[in-house]
Amino acid sequence: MTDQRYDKEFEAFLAGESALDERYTELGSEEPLPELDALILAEARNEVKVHRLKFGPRGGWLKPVALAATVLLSLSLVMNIVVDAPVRFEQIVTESTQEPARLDAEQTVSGWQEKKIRLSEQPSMSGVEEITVTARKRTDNEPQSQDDTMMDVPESVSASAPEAMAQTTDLDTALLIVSEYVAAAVSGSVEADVKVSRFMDKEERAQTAAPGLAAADRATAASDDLQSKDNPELLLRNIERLNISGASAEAGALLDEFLLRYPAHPVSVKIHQRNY
Amino acid sequence: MLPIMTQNTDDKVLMVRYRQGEVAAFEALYARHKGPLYRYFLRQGLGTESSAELMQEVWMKIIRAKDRYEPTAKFTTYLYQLAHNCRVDQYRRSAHKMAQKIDGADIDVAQLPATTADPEVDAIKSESTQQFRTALANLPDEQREAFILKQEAELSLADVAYVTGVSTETAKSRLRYAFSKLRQQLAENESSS
Repeated sequence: MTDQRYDKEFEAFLAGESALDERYTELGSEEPLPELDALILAEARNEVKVHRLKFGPRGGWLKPVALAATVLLSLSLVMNIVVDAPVRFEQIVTESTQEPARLDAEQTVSGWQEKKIRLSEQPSMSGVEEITVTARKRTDNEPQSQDDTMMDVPESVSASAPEAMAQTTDLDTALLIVSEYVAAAVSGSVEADVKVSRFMDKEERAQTAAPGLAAADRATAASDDLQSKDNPELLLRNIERLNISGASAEAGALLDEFLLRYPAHPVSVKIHQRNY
Repeated sequence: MLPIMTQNTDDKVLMVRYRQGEVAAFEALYARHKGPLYRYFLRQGLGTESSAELMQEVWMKIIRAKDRYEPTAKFTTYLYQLAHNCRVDQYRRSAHKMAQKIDGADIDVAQLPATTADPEVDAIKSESTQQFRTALANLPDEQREAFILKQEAELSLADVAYVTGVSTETAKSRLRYAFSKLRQQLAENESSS
């Protein structure tokens, strides 16, 4: 047999046209047992039934519904977190009578200790004329003040702070007292009124103790006034300065202007309490 | 609405329709491939029991994986690739057992149906068939598998190569050896008789 003939036969075999193919068909066509057929077909039907039970007669609706439910749940969770965002307190610490150094209050809850340390670095309470804490609720679209940063007033503010106010000797205690004051004032309780009045008394004492401040503050406020036209925080500070220096009428006028210009801007509880 | 199923409906279409929940599509697919698949196992020297077992395993895999089935390749190559893998696994599980069966001793010729009404012709054919069966059983595993895939599943050279996981050249070489040995064996049998 030549190679050429062999190759030809092999090609015929590959094409299914050789004698070998015929011999193979003679082997017969064995089939699996009917029991095996029944078993496999039953499994195939059962699988379809299970699929329908899982995904419904039309199939495939469960996944989209589950996905939509997950998205809704996630959205509502996020919305809930945004709505229930903790009230944050903005702290403003004004300058001392002797040193116009501003105490930058920059901290978060976790940075509370750091803040304490920084305040403690200041010489003494006698150098500080006033500490103001302004309560405000921050919203997403509200720009963050450059000068005054936010802090969370801890829930554990001491209830005995008003008593301690008369004998305040350091900045930490003063800060706690003022925070307590703000928290009470926001709550609007009877106790809050008492605390507010005590705080006011304390402020008045501070003003009489530093008569030389009035003129200096008026000058500072006047110069700041020019720059503060577009800065609500600076404007509020000027109002405070004017008030401390005894220019209540000017402070009142500036407050009216402020409220007209920034009706939605949060205003210090203390400023509201003064009733210019 | 799905088109009406015919005898010529493509395997891939049937499988997709079964995936969509049409049991009749699977029944048609099964009816089309059950015999060749069964014989694929049976003629590789496996007994009827092992062949039935492996066949069930293959179809169960197809049924359970129907949601993941993508009609990218030919259904036949998908089916026989599964069958090849199941056979290899089974071989590993009981290597020595399989080796015993491969010698063709367990093939029950009496189970084969008679193809003619004449007992004399049947007797001659039966002897010839037995010789061919023995020749097939004597082939090395890889050559026999390639041969059966070509004969039963009607796979092309490229598909035989894909299913068995070798190159087309290797598949062709295996088929060439199988063809040569079977041809030689049958020629010897004929000359002796």
